[in-house]
Amino acid sequence: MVKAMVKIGVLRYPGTNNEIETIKALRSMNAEAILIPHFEAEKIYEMDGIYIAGGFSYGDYLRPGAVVKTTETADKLKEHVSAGKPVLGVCNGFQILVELNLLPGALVKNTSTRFISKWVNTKIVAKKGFLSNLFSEILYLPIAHYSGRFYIDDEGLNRIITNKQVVLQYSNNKGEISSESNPNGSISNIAGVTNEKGNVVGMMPHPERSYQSFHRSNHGGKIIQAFLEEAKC
Amino acid sequence: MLNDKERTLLVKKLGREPTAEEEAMVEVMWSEHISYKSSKRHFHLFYKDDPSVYLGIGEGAGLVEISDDYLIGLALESHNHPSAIDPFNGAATGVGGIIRDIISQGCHPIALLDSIRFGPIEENHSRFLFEQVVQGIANYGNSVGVPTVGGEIEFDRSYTDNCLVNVMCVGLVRKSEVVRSIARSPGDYFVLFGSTTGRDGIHGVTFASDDLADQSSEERGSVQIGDPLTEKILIDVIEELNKNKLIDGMQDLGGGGLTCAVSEMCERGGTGCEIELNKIPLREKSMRAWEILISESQERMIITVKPEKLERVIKIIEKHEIPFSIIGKVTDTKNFVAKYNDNIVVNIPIEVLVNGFIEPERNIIPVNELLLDRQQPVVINPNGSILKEFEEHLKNPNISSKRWIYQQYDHTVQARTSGEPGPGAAILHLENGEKISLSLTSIPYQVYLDPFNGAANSAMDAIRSIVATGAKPIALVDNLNFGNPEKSDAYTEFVESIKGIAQVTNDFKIPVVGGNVSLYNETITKEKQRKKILPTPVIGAVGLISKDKEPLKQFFRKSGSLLLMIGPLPENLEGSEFLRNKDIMTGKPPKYNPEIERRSMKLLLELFNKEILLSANDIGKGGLLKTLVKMSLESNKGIEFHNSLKLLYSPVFWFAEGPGRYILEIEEENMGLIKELSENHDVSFTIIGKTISEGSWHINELNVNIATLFQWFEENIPSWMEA
Repeated sequence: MVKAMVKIGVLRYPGTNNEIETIKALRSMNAEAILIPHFEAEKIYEMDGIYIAGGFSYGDYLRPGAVVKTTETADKLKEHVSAGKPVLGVCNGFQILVELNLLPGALVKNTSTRFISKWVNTKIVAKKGFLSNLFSEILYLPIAHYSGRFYIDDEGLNRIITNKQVVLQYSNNKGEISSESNPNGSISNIAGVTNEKGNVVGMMPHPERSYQSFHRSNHGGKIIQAFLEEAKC
Repeated sequence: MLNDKERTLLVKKLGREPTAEEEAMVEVMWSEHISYKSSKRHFHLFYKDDPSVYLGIGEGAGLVEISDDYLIGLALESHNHPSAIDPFNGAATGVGGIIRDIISQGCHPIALLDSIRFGPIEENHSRFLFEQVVQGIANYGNSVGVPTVGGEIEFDRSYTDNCLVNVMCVGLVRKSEVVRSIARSPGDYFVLFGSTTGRDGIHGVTFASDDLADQSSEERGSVQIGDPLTEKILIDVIEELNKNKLIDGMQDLGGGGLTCAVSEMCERGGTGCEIELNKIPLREKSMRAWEILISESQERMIITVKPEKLERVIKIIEKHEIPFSIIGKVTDTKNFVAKYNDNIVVNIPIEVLVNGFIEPERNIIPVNELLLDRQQPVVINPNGSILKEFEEHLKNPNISSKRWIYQQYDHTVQARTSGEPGPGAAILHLENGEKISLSLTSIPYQVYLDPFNGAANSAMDAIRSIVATGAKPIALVDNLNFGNPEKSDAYTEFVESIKGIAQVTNDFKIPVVGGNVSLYNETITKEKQRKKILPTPVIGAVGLISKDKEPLKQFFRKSGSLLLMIGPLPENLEGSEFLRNKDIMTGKPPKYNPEIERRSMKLLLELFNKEILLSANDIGKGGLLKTLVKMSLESNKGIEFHNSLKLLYSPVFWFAEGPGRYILEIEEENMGLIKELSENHDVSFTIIGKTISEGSWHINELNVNIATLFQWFEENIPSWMEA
């Protein structure tokens, strides 16, 4: 079956540093991955999906992800989202989506006040959006962040639970969700959320570091595949 | 400051008094840190000219061939003095500097390893330095997006006033994209870009070429401040320029700043330069010409560009929104000429700057004289039960788990690593299917007791660690941290250590492709006593794993498999970390033994190629116990020790360190083949026991739960640091 390859834009701001492996991972899954530096924002219009790669955009000045609001990419991303096209934001990409109000909540300093780099178990709890096909899967994924603690007030938490916007939670290897399996103090062990429509997903774990046979696990590949499927529609 | 002899020489060479600017430049260029005037004379001892070496010692990074298309870049450098004064920024800029050495040659930086040393963890100040250094490395490396994949840490009282921070960076480059640090063609432009230039780091190198004095706190101005955001942008800019073939030559501005970068580039090209100091973007007002010339502000690169390419270069740099300036031209005068406010303030031959220094006389003493007190016989008072010794050994922070450290370093970014650092050498998977294995280590205690053998054993420790992953060693880098070279004991330790490393490189034909020398790591105490560090030659080793093979794991893969120790059991405990931890500062460490090392290495690699090893790990610093604990904990499997082993209660069995030893995990059915091959290779082996699914070690009638081992091994460093 000959089909045009799905076009995914990988955003790179000054200080973004996960763009190369993200492009590599997307290409390995037959996507046409295109680097979009912050000074080529208009390219966003041509994309089927956007992957906001991790790193330290603008050096985390002010707050992680905050400076992106002032760039040309902000409005273009919002138009992309309004058109119903998918966005996956990983780590700093998640922080950016929250700062742009494309996702609910906030990402604050880990309770340990230290950078945390390790492999953790997570459970897909998505009942809507492009991860819902993976519902109840337990995925072993790497995290690497300083400000990865998801926070939202009680009202907001109730709302995102009612709206089924929680998509990923830190768990143990049996999928049980408890404080022992919470690496950074995130409220309700939340590792990833989606918007009301389900086309924008943000998560702290790094799927693009977990898809090859030599990686400690290749579970991240499932998340990227699900994102690509959505972008094809 | 130049001494009288140096100043007289300078006046003679110039035929006039130097200008203030020239004097400041010469002072920097003739410093130990830049000129290597006490050390360079010994580098000929190293094995260097291997056919695989694409670029050897001399520029930012060494380049070694790993395939028809690709080279890896290697660089290792110390940031000891800055880290002692301002540990966060000192360590952070150490990381930044070594990354720029790698990108100077056109490489993409793909890994960092750190070797760090402090005074005892029980001391508040040591913990402060440790905490801050780890934060500095984490902050910079994580922000730039280069994974920190390995390294080592040691606590010893000799480092209380002189901590060591050595950082290694590894890069990857296609042969067609290599850049050299050479200003080749007169008429080319010098383009400076990156951060602006300020007063930070002025005289950083002269400060690193002296003892740390009591006024240290006033020297904080000599420590640079790092900005990883700018560094990442530099990487983006350089890769775009390089892909478009727009760079003719490139060097980073490190120690000695603009002066050093430009004069070294011109020296290599046989050219000169004309620099307009007013064109350099400054971050501070009213900087003087000499300050601009030697400032060590971080995150600055200089490139030479052909006139016809200048416009495209500017366009790309402007797009990335970082400061830049066309600061001058390459000339054919072979002189460094600098203008400031339309006056020529510098006009000095490049040759004088780069090679004009006086090689100082340095004295050595006979080795037996140096070691007379150090090699006195050792008296050991047993601590009681072997389990008590296990506990003490595993809680020794030089042995115990480094998880607290590496969980603060992003080790998965770039997606080239497989797991977590910990049980063995780091492994990176590269674009072309190649895999490289990396380690960084030193055994200073052994070097102190016997510099030649200790340094050779340090190199072997690094090499064994990569061999245990199935890698063939292909290159070494070294960072030689020693005391004051003007003192004969420190200089003798230094020279003997170089000889030891050189012997290994020649015996195994593993080329040395780069490194760094850090001398003057000593202080004068209030009682006017010299206090110098243990001589610390840190060795970085790189190995290549064949394309068609999976790297060996360094932890147990199965239950019911046999554990073999290959290589001879050492005769005694002398030179072991076990004794250092008991404050025993005498003894004769094991002799470097190339034959035993070679045979074990060959056997292991042959078994690896025949795919009959389940896992392997080397036995190095910390002895057998440490190796088995790492293998066991990582896999959550226990060990049934072989009952007939007579040595199960002997400290030598568990803690001694010696040449050519590895633990191999094999299927029992392969025992016949192993016997045959080990006879062919003339390697002795001992069956240690069997792996078991149960989480405990059975040592005759002793049962040790691995949860207990875990507690001893894992909890000491966090309990100090999170208290």
